Amino acid sequence: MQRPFAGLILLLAPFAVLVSADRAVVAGLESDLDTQQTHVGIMGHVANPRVYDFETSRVSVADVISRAAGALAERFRVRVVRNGRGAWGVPPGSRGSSDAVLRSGDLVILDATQFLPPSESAADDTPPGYIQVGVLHLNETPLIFRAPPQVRTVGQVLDSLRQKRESLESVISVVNPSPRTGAGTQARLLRPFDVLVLKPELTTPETVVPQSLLWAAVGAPRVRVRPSATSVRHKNTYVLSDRTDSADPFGAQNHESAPNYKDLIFLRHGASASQELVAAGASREDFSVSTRTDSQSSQADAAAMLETSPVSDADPAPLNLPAPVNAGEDNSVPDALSAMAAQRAPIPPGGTAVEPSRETIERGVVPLLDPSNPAAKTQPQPPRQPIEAVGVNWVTAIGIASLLAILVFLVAGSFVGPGTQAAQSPISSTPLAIPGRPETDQPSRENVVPSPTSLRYAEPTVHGTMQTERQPAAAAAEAQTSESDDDLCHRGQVLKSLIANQYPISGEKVVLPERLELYGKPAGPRPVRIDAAHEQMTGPHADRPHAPSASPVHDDAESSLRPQVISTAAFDAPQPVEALGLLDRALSRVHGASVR
Amino acid sequence: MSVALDLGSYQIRSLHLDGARLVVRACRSVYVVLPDTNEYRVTLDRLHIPFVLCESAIAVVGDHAAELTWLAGIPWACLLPNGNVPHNDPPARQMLSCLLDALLPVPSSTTETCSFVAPTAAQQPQARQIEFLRQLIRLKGYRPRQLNAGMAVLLSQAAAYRFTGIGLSIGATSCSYSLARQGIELASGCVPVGADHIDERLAEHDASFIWDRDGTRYLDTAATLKWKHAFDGRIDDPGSVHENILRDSYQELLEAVFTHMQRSIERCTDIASITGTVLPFICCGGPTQINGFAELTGELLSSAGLPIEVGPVSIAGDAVFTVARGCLIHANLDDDAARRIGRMAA
Repeated sequence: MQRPFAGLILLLAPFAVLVSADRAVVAGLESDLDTQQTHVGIMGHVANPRVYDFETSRVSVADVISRAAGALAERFRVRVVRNGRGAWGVPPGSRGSSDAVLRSGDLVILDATQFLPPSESAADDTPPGYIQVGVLHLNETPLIFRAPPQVRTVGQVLDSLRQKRESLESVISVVNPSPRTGAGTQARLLRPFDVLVLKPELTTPETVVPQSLLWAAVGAPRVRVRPSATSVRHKNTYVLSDRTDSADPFGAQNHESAPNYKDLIFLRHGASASQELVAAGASREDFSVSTRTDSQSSQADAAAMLETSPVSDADPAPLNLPAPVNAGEDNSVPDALSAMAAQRAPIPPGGTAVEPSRETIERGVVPLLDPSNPAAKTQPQPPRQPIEAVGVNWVTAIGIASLLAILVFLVAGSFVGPGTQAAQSPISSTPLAIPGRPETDQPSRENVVPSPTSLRYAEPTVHGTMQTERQPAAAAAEAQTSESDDDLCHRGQVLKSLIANQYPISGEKVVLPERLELYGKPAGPRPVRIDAAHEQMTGPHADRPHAPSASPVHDDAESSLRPQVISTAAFDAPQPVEALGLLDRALSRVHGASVR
Repeated sequence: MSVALDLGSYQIRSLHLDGARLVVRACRSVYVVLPDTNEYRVTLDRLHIPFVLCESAIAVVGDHAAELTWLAGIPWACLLPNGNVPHNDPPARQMLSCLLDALLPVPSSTTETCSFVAPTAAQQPQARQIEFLRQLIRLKGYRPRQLNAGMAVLLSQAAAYRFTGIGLSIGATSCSYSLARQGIELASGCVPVGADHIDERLAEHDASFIWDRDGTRYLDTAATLKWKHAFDGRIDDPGSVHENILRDSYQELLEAVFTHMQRSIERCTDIASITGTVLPFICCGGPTQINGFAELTGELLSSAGLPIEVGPVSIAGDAVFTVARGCLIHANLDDDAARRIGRMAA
């Protein structure tokens, strides 16, 4: 009976050698990684319960206790909570509680409650009435929360934490109280040394980067959304491609700062570009959808191009003195009195009301009445529909509507004549086109008047019998604002109170984003030149050139009595912009010098 | 709900009406760059300071940045350096976008107006600087309306004068002025010099520098700013060499503004409508809060040779929110006018 065991031992011996060799290798690796930081929390009956940082990866329970200035009782129970699971006694793989090797993120609890007399309480720095509650986020530093007397439930603790760290609100989704209390609810009462394990959502939504942020990253009027999954390294990846053209005012600098990036890509796998952009907060008017015709057009919607109208390449004009601003020019303030007059003045019999164009509104000027313009009587356009109402799935909607139309056509055709079909059709009033505009250039369901500077949303043309023009009366009825006279009066009162400064001002906290990933390398502050300043500097930061006759030669006694004339031609010559300081630039502009 | 946005090189503020109170959100327009190491991340986490991740660095934006210069060892960087949108600093532009996200409330409709003032001297609407800011505001869901900061001062402070007078806003990197008659702007301008110039000059005089770990030298304008805020003397009556420099810096600044203003008013064609009227001169901004500023301005105004008659100089009591409130008035006026026109068209 012993021979089979001996054979088995002989068979397993090489594996034992291999395992021991592996352990040696692992030990070597651990020693290499010994420089890592370890964050371990300790709470309970210790003098200083808090989170401690160790500059080594080999931290034992005894190390943590000694770092926390020792335990407050001679006998206690040790519990180590790791990865949301806690165990009394020792962590797995250790021989004793004191030499158990801890990992970063572990939370050690020393509980001496059952060993202390009932009258004796903890003598740590926890205020009376407070209880210690551990908070563990997976893969993060643990947190020891001292819950005040009024905070005793899981929900109250979470609320308190959210007040301190707003980011928790987006991270916490599942709360698992400690195994001792079992899976509880937000209303579950907490006991001292309970631990809340906060797990991130299992299906963490991908970070939705606002489209404005993307735009700011490039600083360009043109952003391309490319559907190529191979070039997307992660789910949210910013890559610059060669689409950044010369019209990009910031493109050159982008290339300089990050030559490896050429264009901006922001696309999630499996999501269409338009869905992505709408989800990211972009308005449908902010981009145009164009379908590719090449071989890559299989992902039709994914090949959407995000384009804006290009910004003029012309350099901004130098700081000319502004011409007097008349009505109709920029920077003007709409006159309150004129606006009041516009409200009160009746429309003259021969005059027509002029709808303010978007460009006019952009410039802050309100046209009043224009009786001389016969074409000015434009029909008001319907109010903007929310993005959700526009819907990305319009093709399906039109397909269903087409089927309905055919059905109606077949049914109605048997009862009425063909001339009345449109009027009888229940979908004839669907506003699919606005009169007076080319179909490809109009935001078909949004009340947007395109302007040269505004972004353009071009929807693919819809053909078929469904495309019916809006009835003018219906359009006018839709454009009726729901505001009553009372609303306008109220707004007038608000304006008066605002001008009279009658409203109290109260501050509101600014909630900044946390751990947002930005593209590029920050420039940082502007360093000061560290070489010695030139002795002949003319002004702040100005590089004064040498004058040709700066050191006159005294060849005779008479010349010393003559006033020295130093040529100032070199100083009067226009300086390059980068050589001038702030004040120099301003003064140069004031004095009409062309510095740009 | 209209919104006002005061984009300043020192601070960015938004103001909107919420019921019967004005709600202001303000944040310093600075950021500080820190090395992307675990120690800094843990430290910031402990301090509950939000930060953003950049290429091989982490950056703290806003008010916390001004408090963390000790941690970085270098001064903060401005999100709008010299009043301009940084063309060679993509992260700063993205931080600007984040700040606007945090500062602007969510619009309740797509036709709400956001009146804003920009610190840049390029006041032309077609300028790239302004277009960038307008586009950012558009993407937040507002209709952007640009306004001169001087006009905002008048809208906020000159109601008693029927919105007639001269408004001057002195910012950190620029000074903006407007001449208006009954709310109609007759002349306006912007000089790209502000209080930062004074701070730099004082720091250079004091040789106030700080060095980072690499030995790069930076002007320690924060220390100068601190001294200036604690200064309780009068700039029209300097008592030391340092105060003399302060007065000279203010004088240079104001003279540059007045020279610009003189030429601007001389080109105004409607100047006849305000000749013979004593116009109020209203100043606003942080640098105007120093003692003796009104007296120094009045003294310099009398010798500036402006082709109009200017009355005594007054300082807006609320240096922080005056411009923002003027912008809000402008936005409400704009909204109101647009609604009335819409009703008429209907």
